[in-house]
Amino acid sequence: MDEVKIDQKGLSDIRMYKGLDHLNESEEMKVFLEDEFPHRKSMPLNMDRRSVLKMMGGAAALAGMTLTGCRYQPQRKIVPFARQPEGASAGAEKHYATMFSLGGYAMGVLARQMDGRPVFLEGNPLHPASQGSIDAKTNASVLGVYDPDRLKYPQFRSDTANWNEAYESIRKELKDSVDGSGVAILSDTVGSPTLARVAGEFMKKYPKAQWFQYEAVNRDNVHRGASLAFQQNASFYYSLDKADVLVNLDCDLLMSGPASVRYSRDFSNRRNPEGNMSRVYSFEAFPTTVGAASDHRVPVKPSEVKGILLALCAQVGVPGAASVSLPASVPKNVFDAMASDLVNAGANGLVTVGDHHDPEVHAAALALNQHLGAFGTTVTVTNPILPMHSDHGTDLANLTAAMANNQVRMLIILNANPVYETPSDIDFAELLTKVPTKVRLGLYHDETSKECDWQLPASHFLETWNDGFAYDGTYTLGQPLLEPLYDSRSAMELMAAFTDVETSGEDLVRKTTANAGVTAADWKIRLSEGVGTSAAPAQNLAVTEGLLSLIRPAAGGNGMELMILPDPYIHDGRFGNNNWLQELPRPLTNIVWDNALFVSRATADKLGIVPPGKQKTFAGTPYYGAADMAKVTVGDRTLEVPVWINLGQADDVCVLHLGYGRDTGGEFAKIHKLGYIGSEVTAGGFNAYELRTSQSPDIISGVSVEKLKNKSYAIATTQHHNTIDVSIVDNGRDLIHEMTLASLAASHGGDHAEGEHGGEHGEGTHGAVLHDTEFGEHGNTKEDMSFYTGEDFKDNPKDNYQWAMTIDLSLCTGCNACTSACQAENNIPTVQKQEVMRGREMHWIRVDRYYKGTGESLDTNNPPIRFQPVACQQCEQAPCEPVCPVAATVHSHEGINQMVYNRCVGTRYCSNNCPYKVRRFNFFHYSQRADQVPVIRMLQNPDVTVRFRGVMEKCTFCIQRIKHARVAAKKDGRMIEDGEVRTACQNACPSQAIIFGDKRDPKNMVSISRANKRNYLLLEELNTRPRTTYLARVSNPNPTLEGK
Amino acid sequence: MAQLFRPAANSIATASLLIGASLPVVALFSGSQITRSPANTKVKMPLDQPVPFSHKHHVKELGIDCRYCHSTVEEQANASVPASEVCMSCHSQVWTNSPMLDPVRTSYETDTPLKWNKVNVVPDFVYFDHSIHIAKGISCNNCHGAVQEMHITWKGQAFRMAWCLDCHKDPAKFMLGTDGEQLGAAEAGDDHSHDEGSVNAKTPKEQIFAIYRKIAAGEKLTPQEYRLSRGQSQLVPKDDIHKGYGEMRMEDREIKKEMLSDCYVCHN
Repeated sequence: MDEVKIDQKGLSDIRMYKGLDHLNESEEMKVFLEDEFPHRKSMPLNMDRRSVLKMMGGAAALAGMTLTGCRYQPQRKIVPFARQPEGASAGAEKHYATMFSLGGYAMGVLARQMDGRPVFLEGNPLHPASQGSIDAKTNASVLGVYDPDRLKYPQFRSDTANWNEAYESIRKELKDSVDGSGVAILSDTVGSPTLARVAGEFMKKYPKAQWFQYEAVNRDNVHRGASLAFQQNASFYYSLDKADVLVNLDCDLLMSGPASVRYSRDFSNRRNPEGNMSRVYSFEAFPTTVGAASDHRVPVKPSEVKGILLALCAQVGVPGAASVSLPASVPKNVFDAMASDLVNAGANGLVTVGDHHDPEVHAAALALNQHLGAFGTTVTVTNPILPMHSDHGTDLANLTAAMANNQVRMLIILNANPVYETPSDIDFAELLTKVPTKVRLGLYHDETSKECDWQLPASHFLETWNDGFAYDGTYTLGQPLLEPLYDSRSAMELMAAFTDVETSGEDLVRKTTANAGVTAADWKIRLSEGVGTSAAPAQNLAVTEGLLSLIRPAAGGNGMELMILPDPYIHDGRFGNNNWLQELPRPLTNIVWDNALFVSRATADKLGIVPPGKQKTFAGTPYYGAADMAKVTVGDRTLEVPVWINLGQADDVCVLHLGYGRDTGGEFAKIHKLGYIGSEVTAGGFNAYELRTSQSPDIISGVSVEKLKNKSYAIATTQHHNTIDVSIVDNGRDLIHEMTLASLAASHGGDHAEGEHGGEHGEGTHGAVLHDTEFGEHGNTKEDMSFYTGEDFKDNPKDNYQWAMTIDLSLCTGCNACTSACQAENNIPTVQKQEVMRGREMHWIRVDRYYKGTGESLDTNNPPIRFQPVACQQCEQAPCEPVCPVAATVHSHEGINQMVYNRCVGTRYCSNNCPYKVRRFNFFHYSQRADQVPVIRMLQNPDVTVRFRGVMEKCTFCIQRIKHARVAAKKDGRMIEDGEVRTACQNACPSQAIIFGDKRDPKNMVSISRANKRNYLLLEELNTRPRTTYLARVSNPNPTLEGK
Repeated sequence: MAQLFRPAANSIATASLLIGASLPVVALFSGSQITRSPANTKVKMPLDQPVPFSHKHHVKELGIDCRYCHSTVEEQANASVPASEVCMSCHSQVWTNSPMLDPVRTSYETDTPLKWNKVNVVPDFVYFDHSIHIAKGISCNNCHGAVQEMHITWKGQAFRMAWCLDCHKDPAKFMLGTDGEQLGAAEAGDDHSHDEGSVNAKTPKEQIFAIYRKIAAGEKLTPQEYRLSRGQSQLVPKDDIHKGYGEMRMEDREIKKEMLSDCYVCHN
């Protein structure tokens, strides 16, 4: 352990900073560093202290006189079933396997159902795309069922209608068309084989009808690239667990795409320093989570990606690859090291390319991967996974051409939202006026519904039967968790109604499975597991010979380039009304409730954007998030957007996320106004679709950006919130310990005895960090140094669980799935943008993002990026406990720092005394939306108290889950087994960075993890003895590039 | 001129001073008594119900096990109130024309739930689990009072937090067994060795339900069993509770009293 310490000493002068404001020690940053809850002054209370006391006295007297605190509790009712359905019982928790699909690809999830309603989504351990983990988007999608803004009944224009009228009218239209001529259907990506079958039957009945698919975030480039490479349609996926060397070319591998959760798992399996650690090189324009986790990261412009790939092909020796010059932004030594690593890895090498790059890049990457021998190891090629393979760009062009020529008499739109999502050169609303009958099935009254005659409510995926294919072709089944809340139908039910007989979703899906050979006896098993069949078989396809000679050289990308990407959470805008996702800090940028134009620091300088650090104001008040507005011009289209400096981004590249700037689609999806600090604050962002064109939807070059004078916009970002003030400890030691794989290996030589010895007590690692303090070598096993004694169980070790958590910083990728899962599990309210601006977001676990460097090592163009999830550390000597005047926060015998909500009087002393800044205070009745809108109340986890205003709250180690496990174990007369209690964050974490368990038994996962030499405590100098510990981050840089 | 104050005035002055001084005390005391009185807590006040269901009749006179209707009490947090269907499993055969049962029949036939008035309520921030209490031998009567004696159900306890903690801080005095003789033996001495096994003759859960069977069969209860069936604590000197059966039973049933007073045992 000494070696680890030496390593830290070597890095001890390297500071972590959260952004330029932190680096420049701006006033705003200081406020957030020093004050747990800044901006109290901004509250509209213009009174001196004396008047406040007078008012308080008066209020107390009035409250006493009128006995406002006393009220007669209304008589409650018990309403049992009249006839109890099998298996139903009040308050019992059940899990059902179902599926979530995005972009047509399925991911298996387990839905937790309580009292007949789904309240929580977890990953399905049996499903290959999930393996038990889940991402933030999927997890938060359960909120969508209870969205009060959903379409609730069919409407004909602005009149209330019913389904029979809708069916009759559409059937008549179809009958008049005889063979379906003039009928067009526009759906989002069809991933369900049942919907494909229904579509097939529909087309059989109406052969002249046309079916189109369009989704703004599609995989056209990948599919076109594959068909270019193989001369036939094909799909392919990666096996990151087999990749010794991963070269990531501008690909958001771990956050977007159909396999991001599985990829995260596989990626993290190979980032474990105790295993066979992989080496990752990233070349990217916009910093991603995979880039941050890389060993070498180079910011490059999107237009340079092709050049790098072609140069790599030439260097590696792919046949037909012409030698090209390397783009200037790539250091030659990094490139050479990468090429030689890749060649050495051979079949275990992998090159990945972002979906937004053009098909030729994908084809070239396939050729390179094949040349490496990666087909069959890291790359698997299959037949097309999706049941109705189509090219969205072509489909949209064909549909709009037909509409423009008045060839469409009836258009049925299934879920797609073309009026909002089509590129700006297509005025879909205008085209719709040329269609006599427009039918829209959708969840919301959105841009497209508004223009349609029939507005039909769609069922949420948790209300319908469904099926689909995972990224690898695994057939997946989805079952409803509750009856549709409103009078809604699913796409397959709607289309089936126009075939022959109207059948239920269940019958439709069962028929599909029966056709696929699932017997009736097998059906229930398949359904309960959620997984239908195994993965699609690998196809032995080869890349066309001489492919590389067909690929045009990279076009020189001069000037500013604009990259338009899906938002990490609200995607193309479909989750815009999901307030959980809106308020989840975006990875790396930490922005919430808005999008912004991201630029690098150098580009900002060029544009004249004021960097933070100088006092920034919004409406006269210092505010870090005040962003200068700029006008982006693409051809004849312009958009005014706030500009945000994003460290680590490539120069001369600006990035904008999709999904914002809407004027309809729900309370939170649309641009909405909120009052704050003197001037009105709006949330809801800016519409990036206005800059998209059909030709170049994702990467646009020749963009001009011009700063607008005297125009600013308040962006809410959490990046400077809850910053741990390292000045409270001696010399500002790094919060994130890190080392290279080589130095870790070197440290494995001696000193084992101490580790093993300590392991017996489960405390050895603490001994190491404290070993020259006054407490002696095993200082913190000295019980009398602690408020927490554990004495009560000395003689009774059998029932004395001691809960602990470890978070492996080598594995954490900063995806925020933990934050989202915690929010859903623990009834954590959202506070909306203006409250986030005051630093009052309520997330119990936050993911701190740091940039690294100081002095000479400071590089704001390409800073190393670090993540650290921080929840309550459950300190054994918790600083919060002794300062609570009402003992609302006390220690349990199992080492958990308990928070008793109904005792809390809201002094906030605890929070003030917490060095980790993990306590959250309900300044207002944030959960009142759930109080006022009954349908949202259905979502609340009944096992967790909903906190009221004036109450402090924080992470509880998911105490409700521990309780459930304990009761179950006690009833069976056994101990809680290792792994039986999994916290919500642990269960969600796609990279398995979080381990939780009982630390007493050295065989438990958490004890093994705590005994790891990399284990350290956050702010250990304070001797708070946290139960949550961290494992140091290990990187695996190429030895020849060490220190670069 | 006559005296302004008669001699009695002194006494009156003293008395009024005393009364005046004691008024706040009296007011506080009566306030506290009113809040604790059944008028406020509704303890022992039968509540009107859509159907005048008699626990006494069903439990004591007919001998139906609690778990026939409250079917999830052993497995779940919720004891569950039976569906109308469960009532009809007997009442489709007996008392089929009783006007009192009209709401039940209507409910069953029209598939509309009955709405019972909730008698025992814990606040929303309290997470009570029936199953673990039953498993550890806390009898139904302990919290719900002598349900087998109630014609129309009333509240057995006020469910104040202090009352919860009374047991959670010191469960020994509520660790009753069905065997009164053995308690006598424990009172006599501290030698536990001779009765090893006899305490474990039945599981704690079985011990609870054995009493109801005895009650239904009309057998005579031992004094301890009687106290248990009324939800009362042991009537033995405090020292003996701790040295004797209470502690022994806690050990047998693996109850850790220190842990029971952790806040999160009841509050999530």
